[in-house]
Amino acid sequence: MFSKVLIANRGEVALRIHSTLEKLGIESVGIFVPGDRNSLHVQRISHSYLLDDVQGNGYLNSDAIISAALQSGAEAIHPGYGFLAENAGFAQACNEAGLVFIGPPASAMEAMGEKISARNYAINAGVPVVPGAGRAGMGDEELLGACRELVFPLLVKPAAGGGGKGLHVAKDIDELREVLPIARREAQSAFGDDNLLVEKYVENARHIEFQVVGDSHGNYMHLGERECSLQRRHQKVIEEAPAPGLSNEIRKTMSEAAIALTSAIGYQNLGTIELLVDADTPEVFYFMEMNTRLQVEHRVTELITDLDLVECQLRLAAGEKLSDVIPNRVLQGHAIEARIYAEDAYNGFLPTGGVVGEYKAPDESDTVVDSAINKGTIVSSTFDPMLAKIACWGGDRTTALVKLQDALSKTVVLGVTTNIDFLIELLNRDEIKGFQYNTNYLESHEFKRMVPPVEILAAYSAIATSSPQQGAWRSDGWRIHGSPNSTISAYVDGVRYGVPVEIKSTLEVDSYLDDADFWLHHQSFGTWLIKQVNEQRGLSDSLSEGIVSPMPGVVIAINVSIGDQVKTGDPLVVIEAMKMEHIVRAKRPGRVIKCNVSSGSKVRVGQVLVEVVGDV
Amino acid sequence: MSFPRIVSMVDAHESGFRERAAAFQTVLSEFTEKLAKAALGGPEEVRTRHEARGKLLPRDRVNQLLDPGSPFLELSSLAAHGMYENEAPGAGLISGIGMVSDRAVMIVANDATVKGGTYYPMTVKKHLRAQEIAFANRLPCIYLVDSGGAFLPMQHEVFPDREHFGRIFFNQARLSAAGVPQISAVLGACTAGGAYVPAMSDENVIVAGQGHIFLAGPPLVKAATGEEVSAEDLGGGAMHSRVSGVTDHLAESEGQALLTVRSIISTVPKSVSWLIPDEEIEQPLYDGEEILGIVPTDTRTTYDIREVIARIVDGSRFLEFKAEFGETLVTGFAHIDGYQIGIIANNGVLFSESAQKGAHFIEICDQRKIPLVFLQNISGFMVGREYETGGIAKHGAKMVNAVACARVPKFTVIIGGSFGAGNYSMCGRAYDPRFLWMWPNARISVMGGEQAASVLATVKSDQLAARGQEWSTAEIEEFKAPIRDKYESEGSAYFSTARIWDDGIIHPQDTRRVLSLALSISGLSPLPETSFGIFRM
Repeated sequence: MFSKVLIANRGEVALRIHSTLEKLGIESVGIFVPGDRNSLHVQRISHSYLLDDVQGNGYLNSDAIISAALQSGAEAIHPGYGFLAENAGFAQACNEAGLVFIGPPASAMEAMGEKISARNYAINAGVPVVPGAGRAGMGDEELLGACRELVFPLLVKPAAGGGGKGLHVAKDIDELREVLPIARREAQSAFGDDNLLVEKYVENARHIEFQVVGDSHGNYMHLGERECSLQRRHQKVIEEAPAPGLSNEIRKTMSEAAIALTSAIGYQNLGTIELLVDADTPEVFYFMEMNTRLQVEHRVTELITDLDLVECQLRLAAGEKLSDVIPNRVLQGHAIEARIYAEDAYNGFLPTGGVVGEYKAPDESDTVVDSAINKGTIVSSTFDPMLAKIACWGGDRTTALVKLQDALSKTVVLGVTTNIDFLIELLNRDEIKGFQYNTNYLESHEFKRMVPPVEILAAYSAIATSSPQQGAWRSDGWRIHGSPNSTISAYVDGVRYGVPVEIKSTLEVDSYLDDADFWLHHQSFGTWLIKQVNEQRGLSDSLSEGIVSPMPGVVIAINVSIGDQVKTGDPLVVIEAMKMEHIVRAKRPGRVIKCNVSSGSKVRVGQVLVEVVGDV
Repeated sequence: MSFPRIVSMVDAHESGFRERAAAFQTVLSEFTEKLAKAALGGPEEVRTRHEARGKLLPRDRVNQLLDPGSPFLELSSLAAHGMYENEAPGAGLISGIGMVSDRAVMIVANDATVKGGTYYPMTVKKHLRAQEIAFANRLPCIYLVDSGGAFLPMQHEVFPDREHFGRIFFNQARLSAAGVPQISAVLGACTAGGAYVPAMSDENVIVAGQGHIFLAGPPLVKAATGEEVSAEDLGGGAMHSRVSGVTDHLAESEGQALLTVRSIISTVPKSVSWLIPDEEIEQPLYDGEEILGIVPTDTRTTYDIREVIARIVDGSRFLEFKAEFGETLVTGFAHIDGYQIGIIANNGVLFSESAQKGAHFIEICDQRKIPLVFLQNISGFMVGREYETGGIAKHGAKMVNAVACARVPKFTVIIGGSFGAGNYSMCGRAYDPRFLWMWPNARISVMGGEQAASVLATVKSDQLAARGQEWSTAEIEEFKAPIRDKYESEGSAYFSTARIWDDGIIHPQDTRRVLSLALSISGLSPLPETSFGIFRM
């Protein structure tokens, strides 16, 4: 076994790997970029190397990472997930430098990492694939031509992609024409390769994946499947194991296909074979892709197998036999994981940001929390919006679901809008309990934030008015008799609630005050951001409208210039955040009178990008 | 050291009490209705349009500017009531005192839903009065500006005179020079004269795309020079914050602008009052609501003023001064919310003794730096040969002199009649009380309607008699009726408050709180030294 391992990652995954290394008595070496100097992973891992932050890509700087590993005397590098985890070149470079890359051999990564090649391997292994088009070097026109034979809607993917980034659905050929250049730009910026793959888009689809594992001695095994259909923007939100509503027969057929492909490519270490399953006819499934790394959702598999998958990775990488690492495989009970994102689930799941003012993790049995946030953590658009994940185990699905809801309700994140309340509400829905959903569920349903409960408004009122209790200026909102009663304004999502001053509450809440923003959390009522004044901009006198950025990010394209006439829905500005591009469109027809940003500008949420004067 | 309690003789179950309370309740309902109506501001369609633009109504602006839960001592809510064809509720302006960033401030907010926030004569007067109060009490001023400037059809009553529009800016300069911060938030139009409010401020904020400042708006510019220019380019927030420097802070929204004002105020040093309240605060022993059953709505009926005092002051405790002398004037020491005060209250017609006692007590309070509260219910000084020969004019003059020269903060509440020289000796408007309020039942005029009608009728009758003409009783009555009616309407509290002869009508039950708020800020300005000892009258 190794005595020192460098963790080539950040945040919660770095901490996750570190905890296993610590358990096994292996020394951890960390890395960080200047912006992460105060991050939790740097604080916890005793020895870390500062990497040059070239255009925010410090964690992708393989040369620097390898030299840090060599300098530290580490024998192996664990890439975590994301960044260089599926970069065959990096794995190769590690090997050449005499370091063990904890993961599959570079050749297997190369075979499966590029989607077009992975597809061919699957076809050769007899695993069904989704009908599609796309070859390396194919231009937009050629690709459009090849797609004419396919049935729309189609899904556009970066050939070198993963993690749900850079995916686009095109309803027709015109939309496909519009998204191809965007998808290419994203693919290039996120993966350094602008080749695209276009596939049939299965609308009523389920996402089921198999955890496979192989050793360097030609042995293979699967550790059961995970159901990950609850996604938004092709990123998973809820994952569970085993997949509910799957007959043992179909499960067996799927697992055999997964093992067939794993062995066909001589796979080693931990991997995941993702299948696209038609929810109406689960026996029809397609190979989607293989993830040649540890997955975010590995915790659910750990909970039902009672294994430490990072430990398995380390031991397999050290050359141990599968039969020694996993002597007997037992799948027991049910596990569900929820990902806590810095996003506004009630506003198109748009990323949010800010500074964490308060963080409390639940401390419950059969519950695993992975996070790398604490008070003061800056959540920016630079890295992935996932703040934490919580996985719970139960004897059956219902028990696990209830446990997870309870754990989520006890999770306090103040200062940054998260999806925690949304997750609780989601898990409580009949469709989720009764397993009636597909991969479109989150994006095809409308989720609306409830109106703030009176208990929360009263608690806010009590906190906001805690000034003098007696004397002339006691905070009772006194007004001249007969003039309108005094209320305290509480703005939630721009809607004003007048809270009568006399309503006082003794509800004990977690609270965090940031200027005039009050963040309140109570286990029974969730987390609320209440603003004392409305900072949302109204329509101005001249009927001009400021088009604002829906999230923090960087402007990568401006499609209009001053004086342009625009129609409703015309793309105005393209913002990149979290490695995704968002098109900001005109909300009504008019003329562009002002452009406040330029390509490359960093923008805040709510910042006015372009001003349009309406046609009146 | 606590003062003796007043023992109330009032029986709330007695029929007279209940009748008086019911009658007062009618007076109050009328008052409440008028207040609620005025508080709405301009016509409904204008308010709807204002809000549809994403703008806050002025009352909401004030509420959100204030610290949450802060009291707001609104001034002259019924200004311009019944004037200008009732088109200017509150004179199109909200003014009052509240807490912002833990500092008492004067807020002056235009109501753009009332004729575009333009200034009627009473709007000017209300604005100037707010500045005067700010000056006297050293209150930072916050102007929430949304106004088209002077109301042009009445320019002759708004523009040229000493106490007209120009005085607003004169005051801003003088207030600022005296170290009283002048802050404005431009939330809408600031046209012509209005442009000087932010321009004359120490520090200001403007809302992008919503606030505009210009000496002449686009239509006038076009008419004058032919230049065509948009409001944004001519006087928008971006231009003024980036190019002209007329504004200091550019806010994205009204909410942000109000937050910015709060931040600005937080940089102003906190003033320290020389008036320090006792920490122990005792509520009055008797319910303030009972005042309604004690005070008759007809100002001619008498009652014991101590019953009212007992329902206003801490613990109903009152240390009376010269209780046995000049009994028609009640004087003594008490506390309101811990602040020590000297009370001077009418309990009948003023005689020479009462006036001497009043002058003496005023001198004592002034010497001891105890603020004075006048509870005014006075039909005047006693008339007749006996009193004139007794020199009531010179004794009255002593009290008027003492009132005029007292340095301590003075507060006047007209709780009944306010007639003739009684008004002067009891610190009427001309004697610069820090604040003057009226109860809705109060009446104010040089004399009663009946007396005035009789005096005028006698004069006329004498003239007719000189020409040898007779006047029948019916003719006399016909002559007197319109005079009585005129005095009736012009003597009402509403007529007074509409013209800002007072700082507002208050509910009797609010008297304690209103005085308490006023007292709390009155010690923020230092007192000059006195140069005489106390004269025993």
